[in-house]
Amino acid sequence: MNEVEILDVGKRVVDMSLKEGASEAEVYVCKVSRKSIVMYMGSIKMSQSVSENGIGIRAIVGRRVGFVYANQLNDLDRLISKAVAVARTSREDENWKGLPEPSEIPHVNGIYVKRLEEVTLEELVLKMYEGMRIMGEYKEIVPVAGEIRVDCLERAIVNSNGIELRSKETYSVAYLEVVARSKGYTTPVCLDMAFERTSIPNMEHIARSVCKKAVSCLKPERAISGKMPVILSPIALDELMEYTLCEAINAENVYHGRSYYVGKIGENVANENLTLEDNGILEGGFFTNKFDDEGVPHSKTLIIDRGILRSYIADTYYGRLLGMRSTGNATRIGGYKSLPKISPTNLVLRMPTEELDEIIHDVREGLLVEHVEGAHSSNPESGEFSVVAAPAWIVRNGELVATKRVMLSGNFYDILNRFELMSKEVRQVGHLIAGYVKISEVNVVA
Amino acid sequence: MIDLLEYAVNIARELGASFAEARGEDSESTRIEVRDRVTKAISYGRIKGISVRVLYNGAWGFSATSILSKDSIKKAVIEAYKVAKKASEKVREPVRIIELPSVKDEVHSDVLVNPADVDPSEKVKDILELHNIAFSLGKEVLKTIRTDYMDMMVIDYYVSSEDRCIVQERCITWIRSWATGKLGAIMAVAREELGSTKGYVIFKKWSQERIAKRLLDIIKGQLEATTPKGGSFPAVLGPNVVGTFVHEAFGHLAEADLALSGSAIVDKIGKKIASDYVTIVDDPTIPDGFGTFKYDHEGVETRVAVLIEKGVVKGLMHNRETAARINATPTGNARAESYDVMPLIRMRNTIMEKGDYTVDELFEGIKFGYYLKSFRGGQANLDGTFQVGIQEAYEIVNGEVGRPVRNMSISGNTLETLMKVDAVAKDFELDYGRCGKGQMAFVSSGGPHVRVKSILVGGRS
Repeated sequence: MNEVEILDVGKRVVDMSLKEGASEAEVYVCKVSRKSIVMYMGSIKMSQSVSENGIGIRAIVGRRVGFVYANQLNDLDRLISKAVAVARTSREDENWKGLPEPSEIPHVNGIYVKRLEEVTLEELVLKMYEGMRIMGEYKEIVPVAGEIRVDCLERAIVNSNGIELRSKETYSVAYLEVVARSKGYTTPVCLDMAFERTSIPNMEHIARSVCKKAVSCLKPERAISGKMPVILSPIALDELMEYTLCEAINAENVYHGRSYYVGKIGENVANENLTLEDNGILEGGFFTNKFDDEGVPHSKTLIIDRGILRSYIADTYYGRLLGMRSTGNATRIGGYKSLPKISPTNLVLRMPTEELDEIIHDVREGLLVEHVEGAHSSNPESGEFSVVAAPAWIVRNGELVATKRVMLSGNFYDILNRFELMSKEVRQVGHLIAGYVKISEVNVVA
Repeated sequence: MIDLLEYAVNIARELGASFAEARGEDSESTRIEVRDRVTKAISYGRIKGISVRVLYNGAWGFSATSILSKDSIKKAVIEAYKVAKKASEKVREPVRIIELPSVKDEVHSDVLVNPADVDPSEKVKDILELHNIAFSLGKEVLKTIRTDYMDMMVIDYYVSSEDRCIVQERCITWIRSWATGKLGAIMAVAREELGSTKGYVIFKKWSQERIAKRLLDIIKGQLEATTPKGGSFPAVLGPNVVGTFVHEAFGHLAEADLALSGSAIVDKIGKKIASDYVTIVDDPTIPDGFGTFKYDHEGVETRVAVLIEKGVVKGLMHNRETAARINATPTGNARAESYDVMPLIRMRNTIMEKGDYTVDELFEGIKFGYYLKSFRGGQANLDGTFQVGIQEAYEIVNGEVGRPVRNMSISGNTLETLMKVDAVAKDFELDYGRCGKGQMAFVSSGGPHVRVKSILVGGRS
């Protein structure tokens, strides 16, 4: 099945749904191919490819919304009548104000490359071998786990307001986890990863980076407790943000009163040096696309401008409830099996920068944290977190010294006021694009 | 479907695979979410697909597709074969598996009411009734209630190069309700999770009134409860807590993939790790258990996995691969969440076997201790430590059940705790739940009332 056909299926199903009695209809049709190689304890454990078609239908009767999905594109009659029946059974949603209207779609580059669509599992095995070869060069390193994954997604979104869109996208993610062992001591698991759209991550590069990190965790010394400057890696920052800030800027949480940022637009919420933008059209961004999963154009949304909260991120439904336009942040986490939910695209952090070496050099007594555990236990409404930092290093008079697991705690919304400096080198980790960030003071319990 | 699976296996065989299996799935499911008498979401899904797994020279290749044409299946098999061949070039420990004799079988589900035949509006009506009853019985205390409902009717197909051909139906109906209550400044949370494999009979098994009363009892207990003293105390664990403990704290350690990668029981087979009273099995034959089925997703006949017998570790839960690795009999514990993922070793119905005591006898002689009736949530670590939160607990004073206790948790070392079991009752209850291990599986767990000489009790603020 080619692209033209998925758009045709979408158009046909919208028409059929209206004939069946729906007052509005939206159809998401996709063709997915996923390839992945999983390494476990130094061997390739799983090599798998999945190709699947899928369709998700949102049928609306008055103000009642029904949702059905299937992974077969035949036998659509039955599915459509089920969609309308489910809608009729659903509650009347007084807030329902209709599906999105069509609007101009931006042009973006770097979201698809044929070479990734056509990659074979065997090529990915060879890539994994490259990473394993590098890991084998370090005598202290034990490979724990790793994965290389390449996805190709073709999606079409059609609705009864005239949205008729299609797009083809490629994604590639890789990660490696290792520990280092020496003289009876095993370091915490060290992790590194990469997110790409038009090429396969460089496994040699990831392997070297993660092995060096792990080796530098050997010979730990005991950290001291207290309030001190902490430098967070982009990986650690992304984990903390996912369960705090990302929830607070989500229009659904704002509407339901579950966000810390309710009523705070225009107020100071962070250090005046800090600017945060959700940029869904950023060239090279992992979550860059032309339009979101309900057919609204991706855009650039200034969330925090020099410390001042400017906007939330929204889909059409919650945007309307808050009196704002959709920012193009509707995402179907489970693909065709799920309804759109609000999610960030690429969160770009901007702050005054310095070279990481210089940032470390200027810290007399502090901590550098590569990874945190337990971020999911943070309280998104209050911002309180208490996490284990591992691996982490003591920064003592500008030098790094390995340490064992330490606890970090505090309030994420508070510490945004203490974000001081960021490394010049930035990278994408999950939704976040940032460097190492120095926070002037965090509570550390060793 | 079977034709396509046979076609896939034949291609793999011709290519030179040492073993090949093809699985097919045809399923229908409905999900409903109701919060405070308002239907939040209803969805219906239909999934069909095929996957093929190929073993070549000690390495696996796996490929799945929802496109049910011969062309697409042929492509999938070739892809799985090619990658297995490539991965086999550098395999540290070649995969060996247990091969089984030829079999042809069709297993029908004993469903009484097929949930696919029940209109969603009827299911919504039944859940709303639960909410109405809960709000009317609990008007003083109940603040919110949320119910998630799911049903699925699945036909699994399996064909392997050993000439095994199996068609098996299974049905899951599941609900979970969370209720929160408040009195003054005190908050209380109760959850109840129920299920059946016999179709849409869930409210016949447990009436809405019974579920509502149960949730409110837990809430009311917490609202008038005292907080626990910290420290080690004798305790009587109810079947629900025993089941959770047996699943979370012990069961995961006995999944052969985790055990062989270094869990706390890897070197304990044949050794005594628990008191004589303790027998723990993962039993795929318990009537109406979520983990009751004749064949697993590797087409293996399921059998009871005896994990601990009278305190001695007897065996592990296996798939074809781990069984071959340590020369054990495969137990049929390989389960896949859906057709497009490889099966993993998963629990089925994990239970502690009954003993000889009456429930009352367990309480006798306890001067001060705790009765832990039902759990809220828990976690266990590969090093053998666990922490389980208790939603319903009472003091035991001079052999009698006393005041309710809230915000309670138990923690400790699993094997040490099993050693401290000094009486097991002759009652039995089975619970229904879901277990996540990268993939979601519907599992049951349970057991009788059990007494432990001492367990570490902690409060939670």
